[in-house]
Amino acid sequence: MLSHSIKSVLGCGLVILLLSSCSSPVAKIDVSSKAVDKPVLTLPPVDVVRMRTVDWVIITEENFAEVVAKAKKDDKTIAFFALTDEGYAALGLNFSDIRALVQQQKAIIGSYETYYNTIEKLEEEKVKKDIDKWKFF
Amino acid sequence: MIKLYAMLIVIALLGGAGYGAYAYYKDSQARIATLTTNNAKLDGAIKTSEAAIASIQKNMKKVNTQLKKVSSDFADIRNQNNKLAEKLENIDLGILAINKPKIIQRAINGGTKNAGRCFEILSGSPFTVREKEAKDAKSFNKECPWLWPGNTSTQ
Repeated sequence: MLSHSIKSVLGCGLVILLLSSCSSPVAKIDVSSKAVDKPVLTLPPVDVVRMRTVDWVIITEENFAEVVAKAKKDDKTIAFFALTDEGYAALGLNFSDIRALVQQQKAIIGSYETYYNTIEKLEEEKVKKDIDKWKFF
Repeated sequence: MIKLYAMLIVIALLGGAGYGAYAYYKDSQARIATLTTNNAKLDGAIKTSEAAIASIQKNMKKVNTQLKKVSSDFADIRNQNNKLAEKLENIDLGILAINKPKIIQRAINGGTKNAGRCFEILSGSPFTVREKEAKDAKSFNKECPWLWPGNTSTQ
């Protein structure tokens, strides 16, 4: 009776032990994230400006007849789009302002380019250094 | 029979104690492993934060450099833009045109051509032979001498 009970207990214990061996440990999942570079923005250059020829004609009281005669001789329409000296100066200054604006915009674009290109270069160098470091192993 | 029960109780007690010790050991090991992992993660996080701060500081330096450069460029451009206004302030174009219409006509046509050429150069137009061979900024273009490639001055 006693030996039967002991056998039963030991038998059950053995079965439980064997069953517990069947359980496998849960595999650990490693999740790693890697930053993906943004695609490089490549834009076309601006169109090259080709300025048209502008011919100014100065007309004074003295040369008025001479200028009109020359225009007639050259088969030009006798209609002048006139500016006073002040108007001419204002036009010149307006042009100068526009040129300054173009230059300022160019300076800003150049600065953006330099800033982002140097950052990209630095990041590339860092990645290269990291790779070199890992090559050791 | 009592012996059997006593034995079973002893076995159960011993088993319980053993299991308890085993569970405590397992739990301690798991805690140590978790703490070690946490420590490593914190270490990594600190290093990442430090690297991020260093990178931000480096980039801030670059931002300041570019800001200074653009501010300086803008100041130069404003000075260049004021040149024409200063020139026009010092002369009476109307009187000059009355006295020497042909000379002034030639001068303003030349000036207009040069000013137009400045826009062409700014838009990326290649230099002409005359511009390439220019010995100084003035012979390059009187309206925008600062665009001369050999120019060291921005005025």
